[in-house]
Amino acid sequence: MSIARFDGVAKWYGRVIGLVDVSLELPAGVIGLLGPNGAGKSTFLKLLTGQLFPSQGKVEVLGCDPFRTPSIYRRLGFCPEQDAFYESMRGRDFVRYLGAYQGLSGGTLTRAVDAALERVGLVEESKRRIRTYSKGMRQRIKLAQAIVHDPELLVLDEPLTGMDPVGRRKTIDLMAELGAEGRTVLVSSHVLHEVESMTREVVLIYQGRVRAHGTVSEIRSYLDRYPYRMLVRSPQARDLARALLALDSVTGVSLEGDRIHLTTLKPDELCAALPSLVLDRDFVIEEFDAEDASLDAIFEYLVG
Amino acid sequence: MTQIRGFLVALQQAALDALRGRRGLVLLLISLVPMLIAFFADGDRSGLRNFVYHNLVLNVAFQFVIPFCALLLGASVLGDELEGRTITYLFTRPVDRGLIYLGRLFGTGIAFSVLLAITLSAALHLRPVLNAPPWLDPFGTVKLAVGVFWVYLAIFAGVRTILKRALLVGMLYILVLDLFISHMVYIGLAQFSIWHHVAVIYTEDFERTYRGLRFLRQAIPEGAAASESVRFLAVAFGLAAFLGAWFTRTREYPVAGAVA
Repeated sequence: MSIARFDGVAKWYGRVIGLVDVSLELPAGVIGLLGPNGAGKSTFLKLLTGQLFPSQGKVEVLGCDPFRTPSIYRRLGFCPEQDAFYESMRGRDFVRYLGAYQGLSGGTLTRAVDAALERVGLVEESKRRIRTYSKGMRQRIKLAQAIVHDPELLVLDEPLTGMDPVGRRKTIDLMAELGAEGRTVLVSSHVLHEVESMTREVVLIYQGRVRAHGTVSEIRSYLDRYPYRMLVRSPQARDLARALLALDSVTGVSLEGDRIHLTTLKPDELCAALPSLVLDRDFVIEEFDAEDASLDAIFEYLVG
Repeated sequence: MTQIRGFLVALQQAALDALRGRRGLVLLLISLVPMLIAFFADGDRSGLRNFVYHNLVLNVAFQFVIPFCALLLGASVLGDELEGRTITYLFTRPVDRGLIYLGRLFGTGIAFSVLLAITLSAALHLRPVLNAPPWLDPFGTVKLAVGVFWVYLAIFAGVRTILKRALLVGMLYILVLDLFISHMVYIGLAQFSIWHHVAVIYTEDFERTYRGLRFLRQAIPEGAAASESVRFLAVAFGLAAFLGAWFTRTREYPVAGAVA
């Protein structure tokens, strides 16, 4: 089931292009929105959350036009990228104030605020004024206001920026937890390993265009013109390299001590052939890994 | 229900924002102006008191203090949220943006009006104690002052929704354009001039108010210029508030446009 749909969407600011010809459907689950700074991620999220309307095309979120349907924000939580706050407010009051706009009041609002603060781990610090918060705490209080009304779609723009490793880990776990509860969480980031640690489902944006969309392995498999790079470690590296080179599926081999770096256009065929090769010739393999199936490598192929 | 609640939340927060910190202190000082009016305004308008009434009360209070308060507060109705980039939080709530704007407009206006009411009431009660002279038509003048404040508050708040330099434009208007507009009696534009309203009060030329609006004049009882001015100002306020709310709900606010 798709949560959001972009249909031929373009957005420009005067003569500057923000997003070009984006057509995609976002499925439920945790999704990473990836791209370097200025790629168009924020424009994408602002269109999705109805802060901007498209110059061309149509955006539909949870079945509605987000710009013209404010009621959609009952089901959507948004954590903006910018470090903007009502600095003199206490953390708890900030979450409470924004929660009150959701139609919550009295005991219901108090319980919702408590639950949100508990989830982001800011119960104690919420009594302090926001101006005294560290960068990580500011990120977490932003997250609390986004989840206070228990939304089914959560849109987080660079939520890990400025967090310490512990806070980062906790936030990543929280996102996984929210996803496991059946919510859709769309997280943007320009840090590849952050996204990789959260989800395998990604949307790659570069220069205002969506370059790829799907799971990391799906996207990798579309990149036919780039041979896969594999690493094999064996004490019989030289003999094994020779045997591998004889396989049709292997297009190149290089040796580096006990490490063999090989390239292939048909990784499935190679994986099928390798066990019999090893058993027939008594090779010992200590390590076998794909060197460029990481998001990092894919990103480099797509935008490099 | 969420809409009404959202409106009330915005109203309450805007009122608190207006009264808090340094801004609250400045507004409190400004709202003491009616006390000056109470002490210096004289019934017979002759000699020194006439001079004081004209120059201090009418020119300073009406021509500058009230419009500038309206300008500063009006520009902050949405301007504070835009400049602080906190508008993103407000505009991602399930409440119509126009209602949030109106809530903030009324909250800001009510906060200043309450301050005025308190200081004015204190002034009226202190007048006999301090043996100050009686005040000519206090309620008419105050009604007009409040009317002018609300209209300019709505106008400047509305302008700020579409123009970043609303504060500058507002100052230009108050200091320069207002005088020219006050002469446009025959096409009705003079109603938007503070000078015009000052002239009406000072010269008691009540006819002047409606010279350009013949169709309205039919329904106006003679000698009730201040009340009728307020009525006109109420219509102007309604129109300005509606337009401001309309601009707010139909425009987009790219806070930090990341562009390719």
